[in-house]
Order: sequence, then structure tokens, then C-alpha cells
Amino acid sequence: MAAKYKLPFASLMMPEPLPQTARPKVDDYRTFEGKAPELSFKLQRVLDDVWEQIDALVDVRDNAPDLFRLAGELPHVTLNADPEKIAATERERIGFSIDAQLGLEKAREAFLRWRAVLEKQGVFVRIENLGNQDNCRGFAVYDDRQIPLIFLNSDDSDEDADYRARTFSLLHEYYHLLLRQTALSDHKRSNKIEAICNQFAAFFLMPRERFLLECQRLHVQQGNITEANVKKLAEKFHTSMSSVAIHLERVGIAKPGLYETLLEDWKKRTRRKSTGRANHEERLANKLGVGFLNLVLRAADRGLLNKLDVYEMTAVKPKYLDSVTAEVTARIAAYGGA
Amino acid sequence: MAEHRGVYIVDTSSWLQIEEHPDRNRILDALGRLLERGQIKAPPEVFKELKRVGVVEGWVKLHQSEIELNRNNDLDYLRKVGEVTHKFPGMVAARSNKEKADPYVVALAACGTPNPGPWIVVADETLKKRAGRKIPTACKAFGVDCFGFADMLRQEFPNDGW
Repeated sequence: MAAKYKLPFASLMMPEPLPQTARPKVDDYRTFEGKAPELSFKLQRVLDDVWEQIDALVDVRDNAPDLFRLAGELPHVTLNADPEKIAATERERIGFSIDAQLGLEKAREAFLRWRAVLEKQGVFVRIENLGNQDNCRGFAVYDDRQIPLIFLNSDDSDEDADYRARTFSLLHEYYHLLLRQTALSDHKRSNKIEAICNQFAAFFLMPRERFLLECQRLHVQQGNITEANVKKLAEKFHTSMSSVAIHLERVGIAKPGLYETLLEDWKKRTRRKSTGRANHEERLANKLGVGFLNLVLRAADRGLLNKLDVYEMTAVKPKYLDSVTAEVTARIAAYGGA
Repeated sequence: MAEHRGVYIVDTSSWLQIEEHPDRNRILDALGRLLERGQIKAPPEVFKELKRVGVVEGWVKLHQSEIELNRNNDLDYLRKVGEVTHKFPGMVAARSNKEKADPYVVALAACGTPNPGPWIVVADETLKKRAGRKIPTACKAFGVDCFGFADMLRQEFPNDGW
């Protein structure tokens, strides 16, 4: 029974269930037919697991605060703020230019760069497959423990389009962190907060002036907006086609309704199966993030964590520690961060 | 009068400390003497944890059958495991999918018979802060003493310079 419910056997021996107050508190901004969808068992399990992971990080921080960047250094924005302005100032603060972004060749490279940039801000980024992305795209955690964490619901697909979607999700969840929210997301515009976070991510990745310029260069204008054009822009800015379609509406190049029209077409297509070919070390780095792995490895080096702690926090067996360390080091050299 | 000797329930954290200790052979020699007297025990969950991190080798593997104390068919013991878990869910990671040895270690000591002597937990956990998530706090709540392995050796072999 413990295995079926993925719980420790010891938990089944408890005299009574743990109080609900001990469960993670999360604002749910997802909508399904006008209501918030229920928390699936899988999502609840992941939330519990992430809460446990953050608790473990708090333990490490209590003993070695110098290994952490201060979460309080992340800008704090309010819901009244203009997401476009915040996107511009945040881009400036982070110091990753639009030219540098557009100069990146591959969608994977762009995603890993952005991930490293956020990890450098002290944000932990975890990726795991929770199934249907329409139900939950991801979540952000910023609570009184002050360990900001972004969780993206994604498989280990190596497709460019999937990396672009991840990049947009990453920035969407980042805005939840700037709003100091702990929130579940589906990125649907019907929710006001989700729409605001989408706007931030869109203006962050596609600053208005540059976006208009690239549209001009690609001859994208009202009347000739095709899926191929949208795809070209998505590839140029390393973001999802959905976000480009909505952005075209927002900046006034496309008439309202472009996104819905394209979405109807996309829904009819069968999603290609994941072609992920990553090895064990790459999968670990993809899932847990370089920031997290690097921190755990450094804490272990200092004797703050023993082999079991490392295993429980990362699922890395001691025999893989050297190769995981090599993967982390290589990613830091390639993309920065940590 | 019979000599009252403590029974030590050694947690994974201490086995890992011993494994990497520069004085490992001398420590194992002392543990061997305690083992002969039936004073070193651990629940099966400790060995599972050690196996997970590839440490059930050498001395520990050789003596596993003598050290392992399996009371997983004893309802009173299992009830105690549940009580520890409920009282210290953070220590046990009660909602995770990890089976930690900690509640078994504490419960085994808490259920130990006082004859021939007290049952003591031996743990050398890494992170000392956030006491509510640590074995010593749980031991205290269940009236069990908790030592580090060096304290155990000092207590048992006071003249050996530990």
C-alpha cells in the first residue's frame, strides 16, 4: 500500500493523518471551465516533494548562508505595476541584452541561458513531467522560507519547440516570484494574474521596439500573418508560438482572435512523442537544475551533507557523483549561473 | 548484580561517519567488542539506507546479521514508529516517497526493554540547526538518550583515549 501511494511505510503507521494545515499552501490560478481544477494526486505528490526539498535547502542555508544568494535581493513588484515596464527594468538589471538573446542559435541554448540567469538570481528551477500541460504548466514558490523555486511541467523532449515553450514558462513563473507568490499556473489568459505574468514574459522576451522591428524585417503585418510567420518570430526570439501570436495581438499588429484561430489548428494536431536522448547526468541536471545540484555538491564538500543527505536531496548515488559534478561544471562553463 | 550495559541503536548517519573516519579501523575494533556483547543494533531500514549509498560493504556487511534487529512484525513497535512519524513529520519526510530509517531507530530504542540496560540512539547527523527535524529532538520527546558515536566509545571505553 505504501508503494502504491508513494508514501513511507512509517506514515501508514501513524495514529491519525497529519493535519491539513501541514500541507503546502498554494494559490491556484488555474482555470478549467471557469473553475479551478482539482489537485491531481501526482501534482500533490510533487508539491509535497518540492516542499521537502525547500525545507532541506533551508537546513543547508541555516548552516552555510554564504552558499545562497539572498532571495530578498529579487525585486518585489506589485500587481499594479506595468508588466512591460518591469520587463524592461528587469532585463536591464539582469544584464542580458536582446541582441545577445537573438544571437543565440538554438532554442535549447537559449533556455539553458535563461535558466542559468535566473539561477544566478538565487532561483531554483526544477523540471518534471506531470502530464497534461493544459492542467498545469508549472508553479512558483516564494513563501516565508525565502527559497524561490520555479517548477516547470515538461517532459524531457529535445524538440526546439518544447525548449521555446519552457523558456516562456520560465519567465512567466519568474513574474510570480517577483510578485512574491506561491502559485499554480496554467498560463490561461482568463485569469487576471496569469494574463499579467504572460504579459511580463512576453515583453521580457520580446521587447516592444525590437519586436516591431523584427516584424518589419520579416514583413509581418496585418493581413499577411501566417503560421509560418509566427513560427519565424518564435524561432527568432526563442519563445513559444502561442506567446508570439498573443504578442502580435497585444502590440496591434494582429487583430484580436489570431491566437484562438491558430490554437484551434494546433489542437487538431497530434503532439510528437518525446525524443529525449539525454544520459543519466544530463537528465538529472535538466530536472534538478545546475543551481540546486551545485549547491548540494558544495555543501557535501564542506561536510555539511553526508552521502545519504546528498542521495535524498538529489537521488544521485555516490558512484555517479563525479560524473554529475562534471556535468554541472560543464554547464556552468557553457551557460554561466550558479 | 548483573552489569547494566547499554544497547546502542546506531543510525545511518553514524555508520557513514565511521566509514569515512581516518581512525576507522580502531573504531571498528571497538565496535567489534561491543558487538560481541550484543550492544550494537540497528533496524533493517538503516541497512537499506546504507545500501542506497553503497556503504554496506566490508565490516558492516560481515556483521549485518548480528547487528540487524528486525521488529517489523511487532505491533507495539510499529505503533511507536507511527507515533514518531506523526510527532516529527519533518524528520521522517512523512509525505515524501522516501522511507527514512530515523523513525525506526527512535522507535526501536523507545521500545527497548530496560534489562540489561538502557537503549540509546547513536546518531551523527550533519546539519545541527532546525532541531525539530533531527533525531536528538525526537529521542528527547520519547525519553531516549542520544549520543554521537564518539560519545558512545568514550562511555564504553573511558580509558582508551576516545
